[in-house]
Amino acid sequence: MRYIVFLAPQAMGCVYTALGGYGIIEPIPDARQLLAALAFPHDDCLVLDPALLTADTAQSIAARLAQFPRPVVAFSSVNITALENAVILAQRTPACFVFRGTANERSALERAILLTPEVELWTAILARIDSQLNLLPPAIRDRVVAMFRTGDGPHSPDALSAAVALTRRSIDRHLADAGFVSARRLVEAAHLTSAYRAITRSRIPLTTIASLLGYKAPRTMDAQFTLLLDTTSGKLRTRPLRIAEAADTIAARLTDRKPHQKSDTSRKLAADVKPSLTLINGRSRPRHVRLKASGEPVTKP
Amino acid sequence: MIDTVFLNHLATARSDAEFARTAVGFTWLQIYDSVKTHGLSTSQLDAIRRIESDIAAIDAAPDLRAALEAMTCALQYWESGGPIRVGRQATYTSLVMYGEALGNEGEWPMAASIFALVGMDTELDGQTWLSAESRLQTGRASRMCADWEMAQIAYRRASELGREAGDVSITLRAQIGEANILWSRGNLQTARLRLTSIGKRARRACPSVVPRVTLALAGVANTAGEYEEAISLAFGILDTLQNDDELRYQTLVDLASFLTDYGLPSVASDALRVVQKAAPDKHVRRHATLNLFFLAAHHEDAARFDALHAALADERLTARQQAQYALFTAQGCLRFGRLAEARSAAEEAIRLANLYQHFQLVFEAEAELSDILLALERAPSRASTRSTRPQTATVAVSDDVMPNPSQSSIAVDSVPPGIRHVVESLQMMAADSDLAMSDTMSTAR
Repeated sequence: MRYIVFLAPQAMGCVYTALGGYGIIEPIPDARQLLAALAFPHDDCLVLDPALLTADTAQSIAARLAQFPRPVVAFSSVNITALENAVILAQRTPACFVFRGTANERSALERAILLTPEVELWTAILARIDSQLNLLPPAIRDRVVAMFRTGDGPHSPDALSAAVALTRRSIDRHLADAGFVSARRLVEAAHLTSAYRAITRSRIPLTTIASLLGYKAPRTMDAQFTLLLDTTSGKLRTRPLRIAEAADTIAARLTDRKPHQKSDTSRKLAADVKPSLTLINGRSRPRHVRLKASGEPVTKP
Repeated sequence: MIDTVFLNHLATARSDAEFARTAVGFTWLQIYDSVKTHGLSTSQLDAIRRIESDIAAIDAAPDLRAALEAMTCALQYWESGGPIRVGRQATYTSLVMYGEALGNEGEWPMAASIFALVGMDTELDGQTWLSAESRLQTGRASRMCADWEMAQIAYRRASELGREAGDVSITLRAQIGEANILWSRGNLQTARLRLTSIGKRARRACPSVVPRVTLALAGVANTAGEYEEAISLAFGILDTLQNDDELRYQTLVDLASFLTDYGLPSVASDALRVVQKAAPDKHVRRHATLNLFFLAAHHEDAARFDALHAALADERLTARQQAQYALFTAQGCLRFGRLAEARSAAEEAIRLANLYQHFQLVFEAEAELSDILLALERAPSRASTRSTRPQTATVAVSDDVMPNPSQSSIAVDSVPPGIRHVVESLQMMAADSDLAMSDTMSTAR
């Protein structure tokens, strides 16, 4: 993975440490060269300090990123200039923000730059679930979209419900009404999208990726990958899927509501098997008899 | 709770400057609470601007000023940034900075309440990483306030949230914090077992945390009276900490404490001199100087004691450090037979420690005063008498000033080869840092 870095020299060291040799860093000395570097389509990640920009430059960067999207990490201290430009970037780009000043800022930066979401993948997934997203209340929709775009945000269904100021039950109901399987699956899909690039295009150990995603072990991560993508992280690394194929599978798993499917299937099954359950002499089978093959009741109680 | 802590502090402020500093923070918190509940309005923006001008006028340490400035700046963007909530994230970060700055000033109760507030607000806002970080800091601040239960709860939550946020470092550090509580409270066996298990996990998942585990294990060994083991463990990690200033100097301070307990105070002074000369953080240097003053009061000559006394008189000490400074002055003066000076210093230590409710220091200063009064009764025949009353037990040494002077020093020649290697290395490091300091001064001239 390649990183275009526009930071003050003292912050540059933090990026080198956080990256730990898993990527190529290309330092950019000034804003003019930064804009020039963003003028071409490329899949490299942009790491920048909003405090080094003017409002005009921030707008230009946002315009370039709209034209040639790529992951962005903003790493900055909390000051007026930084915040003015951070707001522009937050509103117009898929930037993930790490503010300096906390004791463990290095590990926050590490997660942000190692797990940069795959732009093509999140674009394709969001396009496929667009109709369901439109059925959600704006607060939930915006939050879910931001999760996929930035690769950051709520790390669990509870955190997602807290972020949109709703109870777990309410958010699950809204999601179900819109056709999503569950909040957990959405969060897991956002995790997968943020790790996709690191898995398919870097040599970052899978154990590291699993731990950065908050899984206790790679096995747990693989269980989620299998659920959402029909493959494990190891297989994905050796044989990456086409983006469209991956997006199709993930979108299907996000909206594939098992209970609905189950009830449809059972209804069909019931219809299909009905003749075979009719006794030869025309009398119907007793109500307590069940179809053992599928485990579904044949007759309604 | 936060109101009570801040109001208590305002009620006991030592100076106008301290009152103004605390008042600015307290006012900001009131506005923050209002913005959180009702959103940003024109009147709140006006209030934030008034605070900005107040900050410019107060006398505050650079990190505290930076945190207050960041807070006022970030709060204006509270509702900005759309779903990414960049303004909120910046506000929470600046609050964590404020808590850390308060901790650096020794204002642990205020720091603990700030961290607890951020921990709760970030969790309610779905900001898992910031919540994990705040809970970790709450654990540390509560531990400094000897609020063990709160510290344990905070560390546990930090561990869970750290894992959820994908930050193994926070998870492991929170677990180390919980183990530290165990040995601070005397449960050495469980603490050792737990730290060993954390060490194994850290080696696999997050090697940067391994030195912290080792240092904690050294603390356990020292508390168990296994001084040589403690010294070897702490010295063994120094080489691995070239790029981690924070932990490097913390390790040196802890090592100095272990050496003092072992009976090598002069070597402990060498370790502390390295910290005093080379640590980039002013708080760490000041902490080392106060420790050196303590050692001088108990083990060194009057000239060294007076030099350090004068050096610390110009330092800006926290409330606790001021009480400690007065106490060590009393201890040193008693040892050198300056009884009148010792008496007034002990009385000052009692007054300060009482004022800020550092009761452990009150007990120590009262015991010291009774020794001084005893010596005054016997004066001038036995001016420099010291009682043989037991010393206090050690606490987390790098977080506090050494409380446990060894009753007797041992000769360097009599120590095992492993420890002698540590002694020689520290002496060389101290000589190098003295040399580097004199070079810097001559270049400056």
